[in-house]
Amino acid sequence: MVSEELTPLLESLTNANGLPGDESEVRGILRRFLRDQVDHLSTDSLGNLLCVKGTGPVRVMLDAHMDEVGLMVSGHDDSGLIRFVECGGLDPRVLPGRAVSVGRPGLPGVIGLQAVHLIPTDERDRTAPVRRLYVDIGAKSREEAASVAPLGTRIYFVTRFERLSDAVIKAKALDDRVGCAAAATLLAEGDYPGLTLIGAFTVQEEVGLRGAQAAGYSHTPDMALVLEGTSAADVPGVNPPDTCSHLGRGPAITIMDGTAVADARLRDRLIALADEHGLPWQPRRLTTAGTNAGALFPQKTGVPACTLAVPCRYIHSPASLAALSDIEAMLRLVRLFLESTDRGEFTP
Amino acid sequence: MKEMEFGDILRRLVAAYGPPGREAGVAAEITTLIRPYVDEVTTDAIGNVTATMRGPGETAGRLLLMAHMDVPGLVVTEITKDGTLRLSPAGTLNTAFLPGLRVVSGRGTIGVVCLAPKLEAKDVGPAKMHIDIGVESDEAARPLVSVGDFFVPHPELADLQTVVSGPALDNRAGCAVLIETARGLAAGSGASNVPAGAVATTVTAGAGGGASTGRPPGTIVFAFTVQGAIGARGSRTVTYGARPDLALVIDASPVGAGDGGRPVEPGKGPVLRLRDGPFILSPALRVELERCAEATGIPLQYEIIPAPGSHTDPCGVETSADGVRTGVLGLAVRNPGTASEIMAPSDLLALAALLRAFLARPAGREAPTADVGPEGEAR
Repeated sequence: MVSEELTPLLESLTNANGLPGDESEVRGILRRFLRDQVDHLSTDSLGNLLCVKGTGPVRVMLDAHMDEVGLMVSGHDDSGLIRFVECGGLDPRVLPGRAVSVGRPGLPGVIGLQAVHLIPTDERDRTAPVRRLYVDIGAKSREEAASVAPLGTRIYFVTRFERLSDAVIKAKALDDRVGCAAAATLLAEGDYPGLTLIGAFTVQEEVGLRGAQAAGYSHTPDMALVLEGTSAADVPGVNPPDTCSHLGRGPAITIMDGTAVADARLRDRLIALADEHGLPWQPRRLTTAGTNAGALFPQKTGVPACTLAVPCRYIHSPASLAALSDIEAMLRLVRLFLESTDRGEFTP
Repeated sequence: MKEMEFGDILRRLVAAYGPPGREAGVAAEITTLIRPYVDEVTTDAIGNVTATMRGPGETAGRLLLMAHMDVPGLVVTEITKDGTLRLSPAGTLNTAFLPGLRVVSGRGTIGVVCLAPKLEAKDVGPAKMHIDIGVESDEAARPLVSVGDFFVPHPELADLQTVVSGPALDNRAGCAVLIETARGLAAGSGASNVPAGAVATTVTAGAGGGASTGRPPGTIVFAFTVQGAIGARGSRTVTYGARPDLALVIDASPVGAGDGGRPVEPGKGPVLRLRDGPFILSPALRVELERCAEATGIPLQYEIIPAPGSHTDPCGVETSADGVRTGVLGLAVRNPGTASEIMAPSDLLALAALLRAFLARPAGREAPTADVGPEGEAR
């Protein structure tokens, strides 16, 4: 069963708010969880939380990004409505009507849409672009809106973590709090004399894989596993090759994406371990998008890197779903990899 | 060991398997081919091959020559029930040339790219294509192929009068140039003269006249980099590790990619890339390369690649660590990204001769950064 500590940790991580550039709340939760479990904890100038455990000769990094996608205040209009821009890639179809929380502490608001009678008839069937949307916090004037939600204020989704069943959870920000929870769990329990285990909880992945570049430079490992959430479009009407991944079939291991080709040796080793121990896994079928593997791989003289991801339905939207069995399978596979590498059975 | 003809070297490189991220096969071939001419060959953490030649005078500088060794391919994303393979591009193969392309995977499985029937021209794309490996079901396919396998165009090289044609000339020809340059330096032919336009596919040791001066001073690193076909990933890390005083990148120059002026053509000499997106060749390095070309009678072509730039990404090299003076030399290629790319062997040999002349030039390898006055005079 999923580690006793992981589900409550995942709940607090997904409920926390952390957009690119302000990941402090998420970092605080992780710091408190790891404080007595690792040898060294530090925060770098960009806000990455970096932990080191062990002094073994082989340096293995586990990377997970702390930021989630959301919105940011970009303007106010005379009637007190708030204009916004995306922070990270968002599906605009899922925005109208959403409840949101503005700033810290959060002011409740709703994403409103220009009234239908004002939209040209030939545009009514189309998804409203972000520029036609606004956040309504009930302010009555531009001055009132600007004083409580100035330019640059971050806007968060308000979905709360819930178990939909014994098998499936719903939350916001499963991408990539699920990776953070898994990496933190592995760091806390890990005890590998042959390894120096490096936890990189990185910032600003959603706006260009930024934090991982610095983390990869300052704590350059011999190899890196990036723990992520990836898209699962396994719903009716979708052709099998277009699903990207399926809930319940285990972690999705990247072949290649828009930022990196997964290191062949790491990938083959993970697959061999999974098959040997009867763990479910699946290939990630999309070759687009990107992860921090793309930022770690070109650091200094190069870092072999591979991404494993928990399939998440409705990723990059206010509410995503994931299967607990997939999180468990990813944990077990990475644990097997670390144990095996610790025994000297694998060098890239 | 019998001296290998340049044509054989090129043929072996074109035939070696090496899509982006899976370059172990071509890396091994390159290691075998260049080892006799250099002091050591190593492979780094992500698969780049570096071959180092040390000449007299440790302090005479470090020069890095690079060529990416991967070629574009197609990755299998799904094995369908009827045994056909869904694909996704890895690197830029020309979509119009995919239907009917014969391809081969790392484990030797041969297939053909097929296009869904009755398509409108606007719908033709990789999503509507599949690879047929000649089986009728996914069970029959499984011993032969897995999701995640990479297929590349089936290699063959045809001699056509003054040019050669085949897949992978971008950039296995560049790799061949580096190996040929190393061979020439190791044989002591410092500044050989190769007449422009000559059909020369054989160069034996000691031929070519010119001053035979032994190894040039300083350290020369020949680097064969990974994942260049998808955006120059390996060249940055090699530059970081080599810490050179100067880096020259050898890559293909597709006919028609440049902007303005006369388009480059196979057979008219190596291409000096003046701009590549944000990259700008420094005037001093330009002058040095032009002087060497003039001294050896090698004609140069010129190109300017408009924004956002090509896959060569010389800026990534230039901004490595605390900065590296960088140049790009190209080999003109027609039909890029197809199974029938066209290059002129005379360009390859001319570029190798130019590189040898550049490496042997009397001035040291310090990057000249002298101040100049309004007339361009040194200050």
